[in-house]
Amino acid sequence: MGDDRSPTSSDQLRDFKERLNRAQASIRERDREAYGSSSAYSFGLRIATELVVAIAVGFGAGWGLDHWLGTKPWFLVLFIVLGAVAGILNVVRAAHSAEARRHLGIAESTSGDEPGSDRMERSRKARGRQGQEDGGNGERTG
Amino acid sequence: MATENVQAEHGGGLALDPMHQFEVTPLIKIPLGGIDAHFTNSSLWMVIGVALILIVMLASSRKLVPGRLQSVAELGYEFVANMLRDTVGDAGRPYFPFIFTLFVFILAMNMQGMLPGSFTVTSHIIVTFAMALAVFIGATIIGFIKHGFGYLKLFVPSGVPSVLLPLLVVIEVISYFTRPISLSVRLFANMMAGHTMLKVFGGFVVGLGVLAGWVPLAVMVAITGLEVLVAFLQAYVFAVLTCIYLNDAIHMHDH
Repeated sequence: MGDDRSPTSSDQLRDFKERLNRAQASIRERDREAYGSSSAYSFGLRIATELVVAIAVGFGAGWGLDHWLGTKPWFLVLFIVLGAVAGILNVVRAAHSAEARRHLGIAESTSGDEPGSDRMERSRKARGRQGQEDGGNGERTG
Repeated sequence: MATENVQAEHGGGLALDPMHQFEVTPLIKIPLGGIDAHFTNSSLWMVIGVALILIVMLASSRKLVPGRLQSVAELGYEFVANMLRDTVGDAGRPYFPFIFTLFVFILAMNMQGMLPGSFTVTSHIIVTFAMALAVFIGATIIGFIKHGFGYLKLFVPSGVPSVLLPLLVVIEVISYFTRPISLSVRLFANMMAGHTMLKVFGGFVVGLGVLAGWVPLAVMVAITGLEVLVAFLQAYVFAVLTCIYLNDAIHMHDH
């Protein structure tokens, strides 16, 4: 009796797993789209603050040095320029790392970020397939 | 024309004071020598937030099949654990409690700010700056402990002609010192801008009345949804950037 039932139940189980994987993939897809647009918004804000803050830090450093050494405008002028350069450097770096993350590891980072991801997906097989899907998606949204 | 007048009247009056919500008022006065150690509404909401976190984290049962509360706690745990593993790797594990605390605290503060009448603690730059400064100083100390004075190599980019090197070192140092400020300003600006916007649109709803007030009301509903998203996202961004800075301190790969 037990031998009779076990193949059907394992078949059922496989079928269920397939359906579950499909459903989870579609949910991930939908979530990722929402996540993509919202993270673009936050990424834009991040870029903006990065630029402004670097100039502010340059201003502060220049003003401090001037105050300390008594060379009134010169360090201020120099450090505002350097601050702007540092800001652009930060922006370029942020863009680079975002780009790298999108191409390499978005599969891991997004599936890790999704609160719905469970331990089963953590199996290597699922992960590899998911990576391919994500790569394609990354290209498209980019 | 008439509606405009009504709006102007209300706008000038007490209905539209979008910055009032950010006022810190002492509830219990604690004069500690010359130091202002009052228990303010800001402190009160911090305590409420921490109490809520403790309820979720401690009062939830420890079953194999989690209930709702335990699910929330476990999701939060896994979310931060995955984030830390993805950005820092296994070397980041000892710092998990700190990152987790930071993330959950900021998330709780941002989310309870979405309740009407509540106080958004993270909309004050001094709060976010204190947290960012702790992260910055902590990461710098960890860097120096792990690498000794070799950590200063972080400021020396490789493969650069020696003529340009002093200039680039100065730029790198400025770039490094922008970290705590951009980290704190981002969170603070997001929260404050969002809540001010909500209040301003709320003022429009009152000002335009029953006839035209529906339009800003619809916008407000949309903005409220966005604000919930921003509340989560900014907590996430703060935590993930902390992880990135930690990663720089531990692994120190030149960018």
